[in-house]
Amino acid sequence: MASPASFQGIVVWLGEATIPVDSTGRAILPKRLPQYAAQTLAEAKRLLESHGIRFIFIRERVWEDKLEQIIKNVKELSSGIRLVVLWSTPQGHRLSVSLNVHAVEDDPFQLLRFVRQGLELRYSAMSVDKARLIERLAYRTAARLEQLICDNDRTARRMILNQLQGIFSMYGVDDEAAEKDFRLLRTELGPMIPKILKNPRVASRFIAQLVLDVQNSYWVEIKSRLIDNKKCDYGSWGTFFVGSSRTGLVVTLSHATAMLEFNSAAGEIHAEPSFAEVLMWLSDNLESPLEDAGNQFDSSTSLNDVAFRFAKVNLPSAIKYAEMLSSLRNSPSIGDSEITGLGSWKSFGLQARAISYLGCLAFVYSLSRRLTTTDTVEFPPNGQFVRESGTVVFKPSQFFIDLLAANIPKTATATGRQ
Amino acid sequence: MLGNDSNGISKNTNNRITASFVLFSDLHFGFHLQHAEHALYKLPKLHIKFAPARILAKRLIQRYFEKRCIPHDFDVITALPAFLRHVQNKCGINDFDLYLLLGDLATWPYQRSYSLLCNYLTKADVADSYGGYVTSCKGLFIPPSKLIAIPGNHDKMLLSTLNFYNQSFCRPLGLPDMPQSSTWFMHKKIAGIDFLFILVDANSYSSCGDMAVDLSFRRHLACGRVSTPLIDELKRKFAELRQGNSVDGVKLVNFDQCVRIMLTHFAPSVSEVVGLRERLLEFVLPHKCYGVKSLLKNLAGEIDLLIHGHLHRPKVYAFDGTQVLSATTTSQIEGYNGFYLLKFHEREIVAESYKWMGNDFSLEEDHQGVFPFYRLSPSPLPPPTQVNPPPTEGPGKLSM
Repeated sequence: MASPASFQGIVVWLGEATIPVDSTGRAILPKRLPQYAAQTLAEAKRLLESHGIRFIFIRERVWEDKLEQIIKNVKELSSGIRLVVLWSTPQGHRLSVSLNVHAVEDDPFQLLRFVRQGLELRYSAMSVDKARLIERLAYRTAARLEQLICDNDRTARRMILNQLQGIFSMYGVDDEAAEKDFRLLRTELGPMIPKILKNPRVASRFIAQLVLDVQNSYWVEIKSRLIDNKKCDYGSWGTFFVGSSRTGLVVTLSHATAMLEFNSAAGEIHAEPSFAEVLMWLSDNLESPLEDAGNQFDSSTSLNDVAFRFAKVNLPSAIKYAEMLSSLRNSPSIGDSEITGLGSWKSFGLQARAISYLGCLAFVYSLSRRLTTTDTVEFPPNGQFVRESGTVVFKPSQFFIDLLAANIPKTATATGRQ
Repeated sequence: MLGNDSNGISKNTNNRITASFVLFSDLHFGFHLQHAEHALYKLPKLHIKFAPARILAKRLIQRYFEKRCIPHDFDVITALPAFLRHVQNKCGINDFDLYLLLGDLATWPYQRSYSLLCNYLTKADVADSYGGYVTSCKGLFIPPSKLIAIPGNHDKMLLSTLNFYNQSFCRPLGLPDMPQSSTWFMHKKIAGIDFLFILVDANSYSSCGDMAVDLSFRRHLACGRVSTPLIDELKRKFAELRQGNSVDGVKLVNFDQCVRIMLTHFAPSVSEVVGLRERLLEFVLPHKCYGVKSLLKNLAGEIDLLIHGHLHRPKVYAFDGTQVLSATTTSQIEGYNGFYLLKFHEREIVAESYKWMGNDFSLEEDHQGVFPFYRLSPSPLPPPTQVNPPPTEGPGKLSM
């Protein structure tokens, strides 16, 4: 039986009639991880299909001698979920280890530690340069979102309402009411974004801009990092190195596994926790849309077109989840007391980051698709990606090389990898 | 003679460059280097003074200001230092001789914006943090002695004086204070050539108190004014210099042989630079500068080149016999971003326009210009030429 009113299930307690509680009566896992209870495997399967489930917890003391069978059954449900056995006896622990599933002692503190460690491990796996790219893009995306809100009819209607309230204030109603309403409007800017983007025309224009922004920020960040560090590490999206040869600078690309075969961008998240949670959810939940979207696209279509359609398919779920997270978490405190109104912008920033991450995924995904049918994808004036004997090679333009050469001291490239 | 290499950077093939200046305008620095929560400005509460607005449109006006005060583009300012170094390499010079800043340095007069800008201009590296996340980028690393700056309308937005600009930007960099609604002369000798810079503050100032908006906003938000006393002051200063006297600490041995460049934020002609749509918007919020025509008439033949910003469009044109260069915004989000490189040859200035293309700058052939020095030439030369005039002028984008 599924617990009602939850937005997204990410934990399922298999075999529990209710959400398990500890001795004080509180839910064993923190409330911000929505939890479900499923009596049967069929219920668990249904939940799995309709929600973004990430963990299934099985308690040894519930299943006892059926533990081995139920573990095997759950494993067959999906390879993407994390199965966790809460063992009560040494025998349950041994069994879990032998079946290669996570084993955690059935104790609230151990459980909490497990969840926290799981999250932290994933945050720290994301490369700094990738996080920088997403932050860079989020800055621009946030500006676009705000413009979108300013230009939106719905916002305009709200503004008119505010004005009407202002008129009432003329007849003796305290103006504070109108002020309060205006503050409310700002608080609602975050939640308004998904509503605004429901308009297909608005969404299309926004996503088209996003796709171009990703490409631009991608190259700005690469050049900036190569100049600073001689290396730009985008993780599975590729790592660029600057080295030197007798003829001058050499820029090489390695680890571009996502470009060769896009499997999803799981396991690479690092930033402030609220942001990381969004990214984690995105990476976990975009796997099947990725496959579905991939089947829809004609591989001969252009890079931008593929990226555009990918982003369009996934944008609603991304911003919806970012919105939910923003209501669960507090944003970082605002230090600039002289700036008004920023305190209520938590969901706004979060959504900008989630959309930016999605944009980056779309870009790498479309690049990957393009390289399956075309040998060369060009990005003037920076260079081109070329598929050569099972790998992707980056061939920088002369401008790209000249720009780096002008900014990197000659001695600094000696340690650069080639 | 100009020629372009394969990367779009022009190479001077015949004339030796005697001096080179970089022209930045309308940088519009925000109060954080780069954070999603600060992508647009949230301004302090404005005092809306006129009655209809107090009741009806208070919030709309606040939002209007926030929407128009768009800050810098982080991608642009990240890429700019590296690209300038690249241009220096191509030109075969170690550094440019001067950097001219044509106003609207901050998008709203905040202390934090000016601090960030000062760091960006003069330091090798700039860092900023918010919510535990540190952002950094390379700075331009310009010695303050190479900076010449004037204030724009955003630098005194809803302020009644220029004190905040002087205090927050000029003094930390050791630059002389810009006198309000007045002029300041600066002299630089580069490669044996005397350059006289005439800095003009043509801003109109609010008279209804700081951070307040009343019905007079059309007269000071975005438009400028050159007053008769300012013109008289300029004429007097020119006369003093010609007589060999000192003006603003400047004394020239051979006044007639110096190159005279006037810097002002406001354009002498809006219609020359922007498209029809922006010209229509002039009725709502004027961007023009009153009194410029009179100024140029009074100084006919005295100015070799007038350079302005404000309209966020690059353009080479002539106005009432004066050669004019309009610099576009350098780094505003969604702006027509770019900068000019001025190369001085024996008797002319070549203005190269570089446009931001989304991920780097590129030479923009349409807005290059050549400005002959009329006064210094033995015989009159034809008017300034736009090397490759664009076939049709696209719509411009006005700043506030």
